[in-house]
Amino acid sequence: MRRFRGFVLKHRVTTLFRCVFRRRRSTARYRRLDPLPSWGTKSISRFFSWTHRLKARAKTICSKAHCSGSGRGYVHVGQDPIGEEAGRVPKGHLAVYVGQKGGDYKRVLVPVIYINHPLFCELLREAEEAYGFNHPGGITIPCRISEFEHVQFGN
Amino acid sequence: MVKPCWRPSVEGDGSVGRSGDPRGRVDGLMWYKDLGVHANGEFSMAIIQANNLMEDQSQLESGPLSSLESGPHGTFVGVYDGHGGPETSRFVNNTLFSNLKKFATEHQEISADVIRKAFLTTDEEFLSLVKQQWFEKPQLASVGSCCLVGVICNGLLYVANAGDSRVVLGRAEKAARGVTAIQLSMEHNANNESVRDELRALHPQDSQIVLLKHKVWRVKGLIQVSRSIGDAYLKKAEFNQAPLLAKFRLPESFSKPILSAEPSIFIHRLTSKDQFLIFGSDGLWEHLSNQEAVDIVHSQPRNGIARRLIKAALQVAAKKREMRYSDLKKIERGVRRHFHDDITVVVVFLDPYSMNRSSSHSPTISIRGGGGMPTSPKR
Repeated sequence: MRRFRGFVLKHRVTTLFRCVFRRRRSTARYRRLDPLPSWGTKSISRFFSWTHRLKARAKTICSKAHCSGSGRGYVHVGQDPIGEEAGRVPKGHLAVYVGQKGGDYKRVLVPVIYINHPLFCELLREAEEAYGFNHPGGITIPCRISEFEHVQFGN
Repeated sequence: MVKPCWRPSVEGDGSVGRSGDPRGRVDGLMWYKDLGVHANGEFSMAIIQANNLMEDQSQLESGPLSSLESGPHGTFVGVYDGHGGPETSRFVNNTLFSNLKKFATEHQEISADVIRKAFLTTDEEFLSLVKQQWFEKPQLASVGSCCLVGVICNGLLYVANAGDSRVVLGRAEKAARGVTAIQLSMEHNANNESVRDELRALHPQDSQIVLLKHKVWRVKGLIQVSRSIGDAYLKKAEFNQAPLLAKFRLPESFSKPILSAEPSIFIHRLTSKDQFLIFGSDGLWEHLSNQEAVDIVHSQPRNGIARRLIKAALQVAAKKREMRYSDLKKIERGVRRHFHDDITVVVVFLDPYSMNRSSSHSPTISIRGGGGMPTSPKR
């Protein structure tokens, strides 16, 4: 039992550092529509935001330690694998693909609360005309990314 | 004039039922009746709305299947998946069962012929309603509904289907050590090659009888199903003209009806191995396979099983749209249609004890899916 605890702690500590440093380095592969807090240019504010994130990250990892099994590389028996996969999209968001037919599509994370907005409904109506309701995969919106951002910030 | 279409969908006494409200409960866009008792066992029903106006309708009737006490008794299940609007499915929900009772009284039995006549009469009645309201409400000509019916009577199960809803039987197989899914209905959807072949054979002179649109096969490029109740504009050429909206009008007239209300009928003698039936509109089956649905019903408690099937379907729908199930629930009706269709699920358990018992003493039950849900459009 003691050996097991030691192992778990070591694992947590390495996860902690790995997560913190990976987060610093990684650049988002998609654009977020809700603006993230921009990294301050002054080193002091960068340090404060870094410690804040460190604290938050440590908190989540420590709380994970209480419910053993979750956050690890396996799925509990009876746990829903669908929920696990969807975890790649942050809570409260969904991925939509924006672009014009034949061109490149940009994957954009949109807060779910925007979906019910009349302006977004208008975009979805256009999507239905272009692709129908049964379009496989994520919601695809046939419009230029610049127009899409206009809708986003124009309201 | 439109009264039969617009009557509120809560009807019948529905006084029997083990759990909760006999007429079912509403929770947001979901309506459910977790567990009730019919002449041949128990049942569970649930529906979820995605369209601005609910286009799916459903009913379960148990007790006498004719106007005579001495006539046939049993259970009737109907799933009506409307398209183009809610009017046809509401009309079918209000008239099909009474038409069935009328013909069952005349013939003094339930038979494939009785069910077929009930389908065709209901369709004729709706088409005459469209004609009556042609000048005030021409859009009624472009509204239709799929129609799936199951009747359990005297140890026989009759399945009649026009459209793309589906009923699946869960049968206990000793060899399979579980419950096997057996599909009892055939979908009349142009995405099936056999349906396209049937349409081409019926309309050999029309090279455009089926067209691929948005990567989906559609009859005349307009509709996915080849059989339905309603859809007057594709049954009678007199409706295929102004004032009907231009997008529904065909470039040339037609002499033969393009769609039909003729149901495919299948009769099955129930055995003790037959455990339950899952009736679902196509909204369910686009996300769950027959065996997945049967496994869920087999492995989980009966109470609330229809709701659980809908949840499983919505979890798949959320995953396909790259979001979480908890977030999908925040999306309002209308916009929801981009994520999933209206879904109706009726699970009918077949209890061998009830099947052998004389069902003439069973209580009369009449329950309509969706009672208490909004019937007027948003905004």
